[in-house]
Amino acid sequence: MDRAEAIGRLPTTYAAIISLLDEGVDEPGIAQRLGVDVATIGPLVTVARAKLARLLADGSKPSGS
Amino acid sequence: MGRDEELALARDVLAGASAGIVVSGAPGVGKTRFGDELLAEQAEAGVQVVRMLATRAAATIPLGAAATVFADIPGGLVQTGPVPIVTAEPDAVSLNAAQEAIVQRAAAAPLLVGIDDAHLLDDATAQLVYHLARSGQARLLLTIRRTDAAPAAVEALSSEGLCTRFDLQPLSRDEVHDLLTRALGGQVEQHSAELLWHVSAGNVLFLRELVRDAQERGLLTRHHGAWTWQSPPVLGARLQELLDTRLGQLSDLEREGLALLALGEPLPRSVLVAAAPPDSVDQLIDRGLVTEEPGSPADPTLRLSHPLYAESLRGRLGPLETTDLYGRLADGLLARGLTSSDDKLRLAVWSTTAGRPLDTGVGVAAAREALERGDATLAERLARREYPDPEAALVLGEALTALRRGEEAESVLAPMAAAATDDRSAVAFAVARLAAHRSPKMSLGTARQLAAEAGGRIRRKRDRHLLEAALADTLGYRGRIPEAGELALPLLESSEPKARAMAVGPAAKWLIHAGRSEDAVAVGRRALTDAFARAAETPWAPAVVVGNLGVALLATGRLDELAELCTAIDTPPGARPGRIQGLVALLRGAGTLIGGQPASARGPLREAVLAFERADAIGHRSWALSLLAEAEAMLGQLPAAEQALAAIPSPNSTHVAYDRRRTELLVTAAAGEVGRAARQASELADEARDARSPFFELTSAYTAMRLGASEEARRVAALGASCQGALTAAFAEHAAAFLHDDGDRLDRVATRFHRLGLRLLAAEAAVHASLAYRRAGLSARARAASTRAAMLHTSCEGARTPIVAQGTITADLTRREREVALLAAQGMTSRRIAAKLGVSVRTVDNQLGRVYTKLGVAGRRELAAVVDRLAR
Repeated sequence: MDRAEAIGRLPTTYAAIISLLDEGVDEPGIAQRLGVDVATIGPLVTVARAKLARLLADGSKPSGS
Repeated sequence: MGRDEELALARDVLAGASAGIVVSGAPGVGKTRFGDELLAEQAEAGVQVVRMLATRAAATIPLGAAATVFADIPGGLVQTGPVPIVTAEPDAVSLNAAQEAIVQRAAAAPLLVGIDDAHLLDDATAQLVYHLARSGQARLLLTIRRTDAAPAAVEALSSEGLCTRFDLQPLSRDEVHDLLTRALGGQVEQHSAELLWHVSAGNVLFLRELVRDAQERGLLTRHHGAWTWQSPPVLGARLQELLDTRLGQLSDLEREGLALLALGEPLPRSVLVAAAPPDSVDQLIDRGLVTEEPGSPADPTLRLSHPLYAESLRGRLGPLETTDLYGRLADGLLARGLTSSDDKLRLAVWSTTAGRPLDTGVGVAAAREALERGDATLAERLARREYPDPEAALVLGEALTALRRGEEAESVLAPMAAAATDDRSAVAFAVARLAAHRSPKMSLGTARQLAAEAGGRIRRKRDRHLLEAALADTLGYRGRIPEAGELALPLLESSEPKARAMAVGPAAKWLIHAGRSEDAVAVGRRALTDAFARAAETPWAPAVVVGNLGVALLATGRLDELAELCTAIDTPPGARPGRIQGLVALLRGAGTLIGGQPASARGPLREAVLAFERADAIGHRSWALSLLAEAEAMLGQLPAAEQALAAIPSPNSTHVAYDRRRTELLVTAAAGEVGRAARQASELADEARDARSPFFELTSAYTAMRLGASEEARRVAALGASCQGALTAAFAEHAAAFLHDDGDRLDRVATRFHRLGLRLLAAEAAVHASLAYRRAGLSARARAASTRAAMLHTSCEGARTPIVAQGTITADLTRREREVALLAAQGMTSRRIAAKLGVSVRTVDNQLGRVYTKLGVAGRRELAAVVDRLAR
């Protein structure tokens, strides 16, 4: 699974966060774009990254194994 | 639960320096379950967990939520405090007493206070919780509704940085699929899982209710082993009540605005504003019931903020009201102006439902759009409305052909074709009539005649190519493979793109039949880019080309390239499932099955069967069912195999008939009648010979050989030279080595199959090698070949074939000995192997000793070399 496909499989908010991070937007900027409290963005970023990493790791395993 | 990363985050927070975590989220997103799982985990880890119950009732009593916490404290809180705090207004004294009571508990073990729905806390309990966080006397795990106001003290927990606030998100598509698979205890059809994800919007509560309602009404059923959900959702009383609560009190005007959106969503804002009562749209957006999608700021697209709102609102509309609202939507769209074919389709559907007049041109364009989207039933309905307009008749005929009503299609098309006044429409009608002649009830002679007549009247070469391609397609579909192929091959170079795309199917089929699979691959590869580049003009072409290229890759044994093709064209997440998605599943299943993994093949094959049940223009469902039956038969699941076989409709093409008969004989063999099955396979080979198809003659004869008809080996070996591709070459070499009873040569065949990814066939060749060695008195080699067969068969998921069942495979190493041998060959010590397998070191050493003896090796180094050779 490539990165774009993995991002497409994330819940919408997490996909948006990763895309904004990829564009170089900082956490306050992401909070502003998503319309959420800046205090809540840190944990969302952590979870978004962790979910993406798992999808990429799962996707790189050979099928049928 | 599908929240592994969220749980990991919460664990980290609770293990860190902050006072705890506040989990917020929309109602029904799964906060309570998340909190419960975390609290249970913490309790198991030795943390003292105290729960407070925040409810609307408890909120009316100061410290009411906290009352349960003190019930089991010796002496009780009421006695320890100077004021009976459960009945009095709280003051500093009672708060201190309550805090003191909790501190008493914390002395015994670390304390974690869990409060679900903490936004419902009374102010006194909220203050108590705040003090606990501030003083560090207890950790907190609170859940709150994002949409509701929480007491100031609860809000302060996160705003002052005492606690981490985490916003729990709805489940993703994959998480919903996982959850459904676990909850239902078996495979869930991908399309059904996607629909449930879409309808629930990842909300766990709605998902649970949808599943419950569907189960109660028999709308969630197992079909060919996979759970299938029948949409649209039927809302039970409980779910309806939940939705009513979410929608809240609505004014008549707001309800009208929402109902319009429920019938027409997604809608451009301009259309809804034109159709809805004044100001209602802004009010609905302000109330959070309608959302604006980003992307088109000038005229944003509007949707209801949850898909189930539409179901709820639509279910409560009367027929007259529905008609009126559709009429207003049509007016709104006309007022804004039609900007796309999608607009025309919507206008036609809304106007038809509302009984409004419609411009014929718009109606025909809408019918065409519906047909191109694969909805032939809607296309028929819309086209009939405009019939006998000639263009409408054309679309109607094509829709009827897609609905497998060829005779009806011809009765609509023939009179119109006779009245065609120009070449363009004459060609279009002739092509549509030729497609109608795919029906086995129609005469092929008539098809040839009408192609000749139309061709005689047409001036442009490109148009004649189109006619020839349509005739080739119909001939191929009706099983006249060589005639169709010879007609189609030159058309691959036509300057008419539609003719090129239409010719791919009959040309590739014929090339494969004629044993020219590599040429068929080349044809498919060339057409692939062309088909995707011209998908707007010929939306059917990509599926046709992919299907034929996939079959050609299977016929050459290029499983790696087939897997790459499937990955490259797989429907991106979020896209509508369509023919391509069904095809990808079908080709994946076919590749996995031929690779020797019937259990893994079942999943994609079931997906393919279900996908083609929704839309199947060219009979792929029958092929998917044949392969599914074959997979079940290989696994010894006879009832499931027979069920899949019985679901294959009466063959309407030679292909389907061949696939069905091949599967029938494999099921017969699985049922124990191997001799009869072998004879049937030989008969199929004879028929293929008479039909000038060396490929199918070779593959059928090879099947007969595998079923024990050893006399067929000669035919297979001889046909090898007549067929292109590594697959048939390996079959022929297997047969030749088998004829010569040459163990070394058979061993090399096993290697050849293994390199092609054909594990089961490799295992069978290794069994034959072992038998040949035994007959030659070479017992050590026989043992090694037998072990190799066993190891190859280990990855075949228990696939049963007559050769496997000859028993040679299991004669040497036991399953546990094979495991030990593989681990030792990887360099693991006996101690590590023992730990991994949960046995003693002595047992491992004993088993290794037996392995050395059976394989004739002296130690681990030799064992590694043998295993390495066996795996090649």
